Amino acid sequence: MSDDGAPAEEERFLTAYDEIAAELCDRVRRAYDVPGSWHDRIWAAGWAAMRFLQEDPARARFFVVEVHGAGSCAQAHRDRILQGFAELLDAGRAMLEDPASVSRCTAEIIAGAIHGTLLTKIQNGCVDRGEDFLPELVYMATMPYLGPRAAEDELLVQPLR
Amino acid sequence: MAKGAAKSRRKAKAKPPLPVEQPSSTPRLPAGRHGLPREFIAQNQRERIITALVDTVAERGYNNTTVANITKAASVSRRTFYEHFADKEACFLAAYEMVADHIRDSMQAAAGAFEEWPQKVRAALATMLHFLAGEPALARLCMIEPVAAGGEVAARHRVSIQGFVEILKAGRPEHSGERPLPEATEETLVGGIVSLIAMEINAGRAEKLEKLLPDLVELTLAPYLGAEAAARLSRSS
Repeated sequence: MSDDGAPAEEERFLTAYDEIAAELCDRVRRAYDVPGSWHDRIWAAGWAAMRFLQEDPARARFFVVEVHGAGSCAQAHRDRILQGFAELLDAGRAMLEDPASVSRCTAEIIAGAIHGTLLTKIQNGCVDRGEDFLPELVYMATMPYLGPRAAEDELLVQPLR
Repeated sequence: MAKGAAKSRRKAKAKPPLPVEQPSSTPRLPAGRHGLPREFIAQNQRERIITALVDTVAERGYNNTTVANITKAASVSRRTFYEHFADKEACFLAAYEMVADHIRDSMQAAAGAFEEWPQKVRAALATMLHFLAGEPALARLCMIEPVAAGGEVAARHRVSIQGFVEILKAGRPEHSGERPLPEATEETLVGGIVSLIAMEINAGRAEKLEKLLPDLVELTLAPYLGAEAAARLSRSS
């Protein structure tokens, strides 16, 4: 049993999962922590995450898809990772005249929406075309903070190849 | 019955109509010759097995649930189980379809009571959250376990979710932006809604799901109506 009560098989899964998560979070954080506007930093973080997932499709499937069938502890670990990404999104509230007008819950919904989209794309074997749908994810990520009209500009960003 | 599920049900304030007969209202058949029609017995057994699956999955999760766990909880023989279902997945699908159909019908009925699209969306979301909050075991069954189960169950879940995608797509004429909304807007929104609900259930907060309604309504309507109108509608009752 692990500290959080996971059985041995799940514990092995969690060890591998946490290693991948640590590397992904490190890369995303380093991309996000560069000087610039919040909006540019979200783009940088998005690119970093997408490249990480594209590098190794088997790793991406393990990390995004297989975690769902790995037990309740694994899902709790996954939820903690999503909360970390929600932090980056929630920083967008500083862009608003009234930061209290958007709740923290909004960032959690967006993080979940992005995760759900990635889950579907990986299940369908489409993550190699991440450049095509990344603008839509950034649109969704920035929309509550920049407003729907300004966020639509993200859709005009040309995919980098 | 699973202790967690029983406790959750006791705490529920307003119970929505149930799609699955609960153990308290599903009497155990008397042993021996009871003289009941075979069709009634079969239906009763089938409901008992489904009820047992719901409770067992709530307690152990789909992947850790075995047919033996289900038959023991239902007090039926393995042979009886296989007379009704080909395997565990078929039994789960039967339970899932009952719950998913009930949620879909309830959401459509709630939305149908309004003329305007934004109110339809709000009513549909409110109805779904109300049901899931009142039935944490069923919430887990239809929002967490299908993804964990994978295969045909997960595929059926994706089809089920499409129902709400269609409700949202009906709002595209409301969009007044210069450019059309991204093709995947509805799938992304529904993915976010499902994910947040799943996180709340995983965190043991299923009974508080209804508190998410204003935030979910605001985020869902914003791409179509703009931020201000979405915020205003999210706070309307």
